[in-house]
Amino acid sequence: MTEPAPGLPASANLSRRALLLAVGFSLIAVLAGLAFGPVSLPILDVARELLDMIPGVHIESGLSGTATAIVREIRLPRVVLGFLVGGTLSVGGAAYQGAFRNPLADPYLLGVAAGAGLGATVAITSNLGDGAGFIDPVPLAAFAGALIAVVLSYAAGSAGGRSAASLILAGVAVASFLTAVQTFVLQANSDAFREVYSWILGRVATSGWSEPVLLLPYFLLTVVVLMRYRNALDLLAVGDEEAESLGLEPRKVRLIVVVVASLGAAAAVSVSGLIGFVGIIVPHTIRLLVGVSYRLVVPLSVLLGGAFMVLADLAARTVVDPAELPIGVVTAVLGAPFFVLVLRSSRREVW
Amino acid sequence: MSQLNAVSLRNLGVSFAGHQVFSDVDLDVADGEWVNIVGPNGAGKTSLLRAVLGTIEFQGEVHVFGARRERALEWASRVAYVPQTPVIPTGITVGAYVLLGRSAHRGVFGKERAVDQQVVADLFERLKLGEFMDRTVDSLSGGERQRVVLARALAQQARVLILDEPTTALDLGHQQQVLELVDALRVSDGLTVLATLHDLTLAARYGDRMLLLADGGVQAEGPAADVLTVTNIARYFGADVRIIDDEAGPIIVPATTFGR
Repeated sequence: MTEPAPGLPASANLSRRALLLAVGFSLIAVLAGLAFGPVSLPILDVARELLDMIPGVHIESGLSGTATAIVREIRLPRVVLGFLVGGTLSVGGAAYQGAFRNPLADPYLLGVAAGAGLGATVAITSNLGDGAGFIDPVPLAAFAGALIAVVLSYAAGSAGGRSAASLILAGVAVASFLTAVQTFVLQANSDAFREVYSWILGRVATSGWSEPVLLLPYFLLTVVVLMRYRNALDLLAVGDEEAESLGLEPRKVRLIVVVVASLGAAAAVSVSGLIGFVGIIVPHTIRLLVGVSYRLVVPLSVLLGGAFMVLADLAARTVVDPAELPIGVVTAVLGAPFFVLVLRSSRREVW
Repeated sequence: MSQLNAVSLRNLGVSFAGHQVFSDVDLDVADGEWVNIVGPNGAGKTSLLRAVLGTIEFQGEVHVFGARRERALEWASRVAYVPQTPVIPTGITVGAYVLLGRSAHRGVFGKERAVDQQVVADLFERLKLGEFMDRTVDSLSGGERQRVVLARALAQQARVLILDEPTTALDLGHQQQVLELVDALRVSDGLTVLATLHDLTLAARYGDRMLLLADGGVQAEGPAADVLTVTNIARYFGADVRIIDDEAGPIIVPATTFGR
């Protein structure tokens, strides 16, 4: 008997098919990110080169020594970083939308972006950012700023266990305040304007593996925890009172989900700058395509968010070759029309 | 010692921001009984239900089959809830919505098991929801939606069912359908029902007993005919009514001088 019980959604097959498609799409995006650029390489050779990197597998890729170096040492760290940043920001956005039951929520809502911006601005303007030390202080300062912002928002908004709406309002207040402080610091150091501005626009350019390695644990933490909480996010959709009557502890779940998603987003923006829009556009596209259940929205957000960022970065470094566009510009310019297209052609209702 | 009561309230009180809504409510609901809470707006009927659910803070004690609430998950397998205005997530399918009721048994983090699917499939058949399974809940009519919400509560397989104004926004026929369905399930599954009902005539017809909650406490308790007196209704609802005796329970109609 493989027939599903009568009266049940026959969604198991749909889920499996959607996941397989997403994995395939991600692989293609990664291959494209590795193969294309100022120097374009045959995509099959790049695929063989990638297989060759798996321990225990030896395949002659047919790429020249220089091409191999381009793939392994220049493009691969960048593609991996883009994937991790995109996956983290997307799944974080999906989680925030579920936790706050608000279609426009993403980790920037509680001040992650503003806090990171202030941290980075302080680090750059106080001339810590010239790479003089062992580690680049800009991401560290951005990370710290982002976390402080989230803690402030939470402390201001949820004292006494108040509603999700008060948390959002507190986040808006904290973000405005931190942005004002950042503007003040920038006014006093207008020579750093260009550098700060370039950080704000976002980039996943990386010179090696230090940034991907820095981000990886936060990416894994975010993905593992949110995968575990995806049923809880579905329950939160019926509101705190009903969710609690169904067995959930809504305040506890919201705290865990928000803290983890914020941590991931803080880590992502600390290495990539403020890349907007991904956390909203990717989860909503997925909802329009496969429905609103977080059982699918969470894993697909990781995969397709990662793939989206890899492709956006590919566009960023090829469209105005030899110059590079800031990736935040690309995500908005490509993402917004695409999203409108999906929104208009979909017959599904979301939110 | 008598049999364990399904629901037992002792000195129950609820206050909001320093304002005491009600206090010293005692109530015992026997296993399999249907008790309605009636009372004017703002008397705290919904708060009383929420105290039983454990979703608000309260004074006093609430026991369900002798146990106190400790964790939400465990309580959800004892007490199921049909809210007055359920929050329906946009785009959720009927199947997925009813499956939410299984969280109490599979755990919030657990995977769906065959038994969860079987319970839901059985409910779909009993509540004649089969044709709706792949529809979205927000596309259903009021009466269909109420059956789906009831199905979610029944999927919890709890022995106590809490209904907060289950007939709100339903027309006469659907009001009757829903209450008849609840009564049939109560008899067949041995459920205990604790409900609030606005409509006093309906409350008199469905339910073994009623409790009149007004002016900060219980003002009357017992069979409908004893609670729903012209005096009580004038005093606590501020309504001038006539009561027509009927074998199925008193019929309450407004006294009016309209046109005279």
